Amino acid sequence: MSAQSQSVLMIKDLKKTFGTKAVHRGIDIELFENEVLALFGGSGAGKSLILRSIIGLESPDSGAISWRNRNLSGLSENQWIDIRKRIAYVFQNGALFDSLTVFENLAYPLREHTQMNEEQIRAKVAETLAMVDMPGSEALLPSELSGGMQKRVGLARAMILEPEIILFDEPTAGLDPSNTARFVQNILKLKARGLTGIFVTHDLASAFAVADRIAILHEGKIYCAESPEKIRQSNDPIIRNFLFPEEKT
Amino acid sequence: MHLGVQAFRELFHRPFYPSLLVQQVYRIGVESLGLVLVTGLATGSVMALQFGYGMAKFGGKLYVPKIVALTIAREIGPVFTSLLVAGRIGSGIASEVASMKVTQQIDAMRALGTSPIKRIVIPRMLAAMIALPILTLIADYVGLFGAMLVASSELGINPEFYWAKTLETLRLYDLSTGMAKTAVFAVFISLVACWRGLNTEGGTQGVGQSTTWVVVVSSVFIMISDFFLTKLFILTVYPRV
Repeated sequence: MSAQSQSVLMIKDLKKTFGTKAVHRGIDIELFENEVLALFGGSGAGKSLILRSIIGLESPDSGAISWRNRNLSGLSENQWIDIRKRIAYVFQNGALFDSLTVFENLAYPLREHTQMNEEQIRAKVAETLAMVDMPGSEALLPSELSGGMQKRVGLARAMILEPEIILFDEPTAGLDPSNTARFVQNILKLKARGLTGIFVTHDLASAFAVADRIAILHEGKIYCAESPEKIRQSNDPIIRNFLFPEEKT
Repeated sequence: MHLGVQAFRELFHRPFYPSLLVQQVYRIGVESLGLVLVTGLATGSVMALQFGYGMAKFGGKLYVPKIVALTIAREIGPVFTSLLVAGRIGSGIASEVASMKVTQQIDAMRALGTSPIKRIVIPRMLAAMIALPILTLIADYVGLFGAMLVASSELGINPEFYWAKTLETLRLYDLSTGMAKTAVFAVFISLVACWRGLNTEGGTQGVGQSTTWVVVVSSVFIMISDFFLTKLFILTVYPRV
């Protein structure tokens, strides 16, 4: 991220309540071009809810989300379709279509949103699978893949339309260290190509490896959003307590 | 209700998914055929048997073809077929869609810029509307055939006489009103199954609850709405006695 980076996504005063529980009490986030923002927060703090609100899978009670100065509030489902081609979502468990093969899962967005012929689709799928270290896995069903492989196919499906922003919902949760490292490598490769994204995680090492800034969600608000170095050096007790709880003992 | 309005509104807007429609017609129609054939045959046979022995006491055995034909075409064919389809397909749709919901596949579909209404609801609704009346027609014919077999073997009614009386009795409106009923049932079964599936919460337990709920609600709807549809047809289509 350079000093001249443009703001691509802006969230202002986002509020969301479920029953009597106020999950978001005024979220403010700004995401810049070619920036990866890691978002930390306790379980149930509403991290994934922020991502779901950005892409219109949840409707906030109030507040504004804008993407390249386009207000995303109150869009119809049909209007969201255009936005969702440009902002992709990587689900925690991959959320692959279990009745479709890996190839069909990756071909799905291409068939829906492009005019590519079958040969071009095959080539694009193969190229994208190679990027996530899964060449030749086209014929497999999701049930034949390990958890780590499913997440990588989920990543491949999200990036196949070359979106402007990718939202990662705990992509390394439940992975063993080697699969986590492999997934982080995939994200670093994307970052080298100019990835812009938000990375919701509990995995400190992955976040420090990929993030340009780290934001902490605390009591329904963004408590801070700073560079990894500043976060690491911070003496703020809330930050240290949250990110380095072992220091307490 | 809202899902139904959305589905009918989006029915005429691109993109269309003919291959998904064909796939669903196969699943709902062709794959239900065996069940419908067996049930239709058994139902027709047992009706002929019951009416035959019951009416023989009053010397009315020869009226069996007429009564069985009308009962099958107007009521038993449409209602039994719809109940079977509600059990087999309603539960199938509900469990499939609910599983997709709890594993975030529905969210993924939306996040990939596609509409679950177009890809899931509309193909299933149209397929049910196409398949169910055809299945009913097949069930009617098989039921009549079963009734004829029993009538000839158990009641001593000549098969040619049986067919002649059946054809003499049945009018196009008897078959078409039965099929029209099933089109209404088809819309209800498919929409309620999709709606419940899309609104399932609570993991695998929720999937099971949704499946059961859809079968119960669809069956009750079929039975109750059958009365009102029959009343409507008596007032508007069937000739006054």
